[in-house]
Amino acid sequence: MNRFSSLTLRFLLAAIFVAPILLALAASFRDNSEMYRHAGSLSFWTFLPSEPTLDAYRRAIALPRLPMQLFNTVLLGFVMATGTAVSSLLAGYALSRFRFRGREALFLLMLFTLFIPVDVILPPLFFVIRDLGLIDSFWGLALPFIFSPVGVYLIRQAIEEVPRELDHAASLDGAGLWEVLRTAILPNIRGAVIACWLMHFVFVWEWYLWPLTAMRRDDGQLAQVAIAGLIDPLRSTDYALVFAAAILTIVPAFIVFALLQRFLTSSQATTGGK
Amino acid sequence: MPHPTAASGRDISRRNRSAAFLEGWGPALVFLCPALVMLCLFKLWPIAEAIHTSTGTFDPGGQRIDTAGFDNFGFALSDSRFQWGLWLSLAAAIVKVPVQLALGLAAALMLRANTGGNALVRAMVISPMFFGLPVTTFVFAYLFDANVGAINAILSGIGLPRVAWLSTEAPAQLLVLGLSVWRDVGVTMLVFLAGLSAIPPQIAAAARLDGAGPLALFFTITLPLLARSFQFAVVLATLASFQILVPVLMLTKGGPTGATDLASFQIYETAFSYFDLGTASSMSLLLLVGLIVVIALELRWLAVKWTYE
Amino acid sequence: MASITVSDISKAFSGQPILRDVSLDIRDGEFLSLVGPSGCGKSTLLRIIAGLEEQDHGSVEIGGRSVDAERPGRRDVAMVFQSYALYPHLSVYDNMAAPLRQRSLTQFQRGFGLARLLPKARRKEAEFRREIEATATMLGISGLLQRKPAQLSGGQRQRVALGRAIVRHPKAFLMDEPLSNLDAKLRDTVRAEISALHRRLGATFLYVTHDQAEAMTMSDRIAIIMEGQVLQIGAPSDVYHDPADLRVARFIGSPRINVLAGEIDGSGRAVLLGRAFDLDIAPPAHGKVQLAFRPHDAGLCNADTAQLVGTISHIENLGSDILIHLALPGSEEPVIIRESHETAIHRRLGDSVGLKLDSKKLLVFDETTGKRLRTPAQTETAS
Repeated sequence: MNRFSSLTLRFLLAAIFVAPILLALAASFRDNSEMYRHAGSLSFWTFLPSEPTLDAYRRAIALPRLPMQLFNTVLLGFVMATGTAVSSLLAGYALSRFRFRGREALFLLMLFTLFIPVDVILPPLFFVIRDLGLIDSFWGLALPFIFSPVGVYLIRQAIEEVPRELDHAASLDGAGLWEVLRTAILPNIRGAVIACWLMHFVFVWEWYLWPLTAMRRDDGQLAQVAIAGLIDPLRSTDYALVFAAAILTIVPAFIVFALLQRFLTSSQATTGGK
Repeated sequence: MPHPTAASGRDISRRNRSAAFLEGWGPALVFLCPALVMLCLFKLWPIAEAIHTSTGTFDPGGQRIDTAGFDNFGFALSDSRFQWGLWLSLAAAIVKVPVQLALGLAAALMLRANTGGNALVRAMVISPMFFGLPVTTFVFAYLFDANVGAINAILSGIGLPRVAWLSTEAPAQLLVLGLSVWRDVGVTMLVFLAGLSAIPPQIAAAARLDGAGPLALFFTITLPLLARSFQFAVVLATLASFQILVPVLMLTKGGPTGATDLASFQIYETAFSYFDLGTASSMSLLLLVGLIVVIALELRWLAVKWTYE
Repeated sequence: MASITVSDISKAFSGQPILRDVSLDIRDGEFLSLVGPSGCGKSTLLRIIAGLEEQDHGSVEIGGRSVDAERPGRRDVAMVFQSYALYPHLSVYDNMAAPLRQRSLTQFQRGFGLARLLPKARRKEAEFRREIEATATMLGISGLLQRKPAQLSGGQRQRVALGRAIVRHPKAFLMDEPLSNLDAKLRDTVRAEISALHRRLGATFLYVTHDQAEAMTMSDRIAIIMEGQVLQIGAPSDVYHDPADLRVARFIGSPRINVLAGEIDGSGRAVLLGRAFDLDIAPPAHGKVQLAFRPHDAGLCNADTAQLVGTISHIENLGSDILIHLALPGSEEPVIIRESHETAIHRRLGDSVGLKLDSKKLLVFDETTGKRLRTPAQTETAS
């Protein structure tokens, strides 16, 4: 393969994944009638706005419940990410450092829950939340997914990498179980904890089925689920509005991600020995 | 034991300091508590709940009115629509897994070298993950829109007929599967990239010294040594193939004429449109068992029996 | 400073016994090495003393007080680990301050950085600073206090680990193979430094190593542990010259001790490869014994006059001395003899030479139990 064709291949590959996103971004700057006018014949303006306008963003912001729903998504992101990071940190610590009967079995059981996709278990999960009286509530959305097998796995593996001698040094100095976690382990797995936090923060933007099922109040709904209601595939959809709203929805995720991602690479654990 | 009293005395003192030792359930439970409670409440209880509700009949208000034994299972399994749904779900896996693996492997091989340009392209390949499934579904809805969609514009521009993507059977299936592959291929690529970087370069160097060409190198060295990555990627892709309900729910609603009437969509409809809780739960369990059986079979076929040193 | 008494310690990991009824007395201010092959249980014993591992049976006393019910932090012993166990995210200064802060600051002062600015904590911090700086000067690391462990060489990290133990003024120092991550040359230097440190602090040192040379050169006493049991405790020269067990004799000393199979006949004479030696030893019931001698306790002589004759199979020139490997008919392992450079320089491979044994220096062991059988003369010197 020569240099030119290998470059072309890479460019094509990148285009396949980025072009649809860019198209959607372009659509958010269009006017609906302008979009339909250019749809009939193939031209430059089939894909790009001929008269860029912020009108769709204006209309998106004016959607009565969108700010509240966007707040719900972001708040849920923070709660989920923090809850998952904390519960995974504690469980990972216990599963890595404590010796008790059935430890491996418990870890395997936790990993096994990966094989229960929410799509499949949706109705019974709904019944459980209904029995707990949490339907249509914020905690009904959040609680079922605060336990994350991926988070527990990630953090346990990171703790396994921390030499046990560090814990031992700390406990010889008089540190108790919590302080060993805080002084000897946590500073060495910061990268993994932040990765776990970020992963589960971004994960909230994946959500559709569960909020659609467990949240029937409009002002409690998540932004992306509400926006999905604007799409009617069989009639003409106001795509400019959909994408303007969708872009407003994912902006917070991008800001948080951009702020935190530098910690991911900078805090690789280096051990005190060797 | 020669000194029973001394021994029991020691046991008492040991209990006092058990906090200093990482032994036993006691101290572990404190740390495991949050995860364990969530695990029991929201992972294990729903399964127990599914087993319980699957053996009952319910009125539309959700009150259990009778015990049904295994009738719900029998009803679900003998229902030709659910049979079709199960087959569709399986077919989705059969199509999605190999296609996604081939594309992911090709992308990983192409972007294997650690250059700045490759890193950028890699980031682009995995970028759909960051937008979330709902937003990527919006993007595909727009892209394949019958009227304003870019795909139809291109098709008509080069002289092909426009396609009514969501109201024709095969195109609708293609759309749903294509979205799923497009979104997940980045994960597969990452798995293979990790696998490729774990192959010791000396092995390839040794084979090259033995006179292996690039093709022989790929089939005799690279591919077999990627076995572990294959296993992992196949399981992940299979799991994902059972989770393509979102575009179905948002765009096709199981149609046209049942072309995307996946088992998971039927479960959703049975529970939340028909309020037939017993049948929905038994369908959930059947699909869950099916998924686990498929993954177990895959793990068995793809079992890896070697390690690096 | 304190003595450490270990009595009847047993420990098994998943049914596999690691330590069996180990008893040990470490005197106040003593440097005692636990030495043995890897997997013999010496590290486990150290960790049981530290409280990091729980014994199945038996008890540990530090300073005359039972610590079985105490957490590791309350036992007031410091440990130097093989990997040094420095906190990678803290500077050298903070690494050395960690045990001090842990011991004398309150939870609140430890947990919140700002609380350290309060007057009480600041007075303590000033104390810590004096202590750390004095220790750092003693160890020659005062220029490194602001560095992170990753920026230090192996030897420097080793010193920081020692410093972290010293600042605490613990009752005893426990060291778990502290030199095994250093390269050979540095190891010799640090070996001398640790010995000097022990003399200077006068503290109790318990030192675990698999390297018998390390144990021989540094310790007041050595405890040889094998298969979870203490085989012998004694001064380095005692365990070298007067081993109580064949395994001890084989483990201590380099080059290794020579061992030949033989028998004791009814009159107390040792019969070795068909030759008899006057030893005057009460034979074990079966009469089978192992006879051992150090490479410098035997010599070579003319083949014609010798009782035992062999051929030279290998010559190792160590510079000052030369090791001659002698293949004896009837013995699988060659016998190694240390000769001075002058006498050995004319020896050639394949030469047939005689082996001259000094029956006073022959060590006799029961073949089945491995226990030492002493001649009356040896019993006298031993006691």
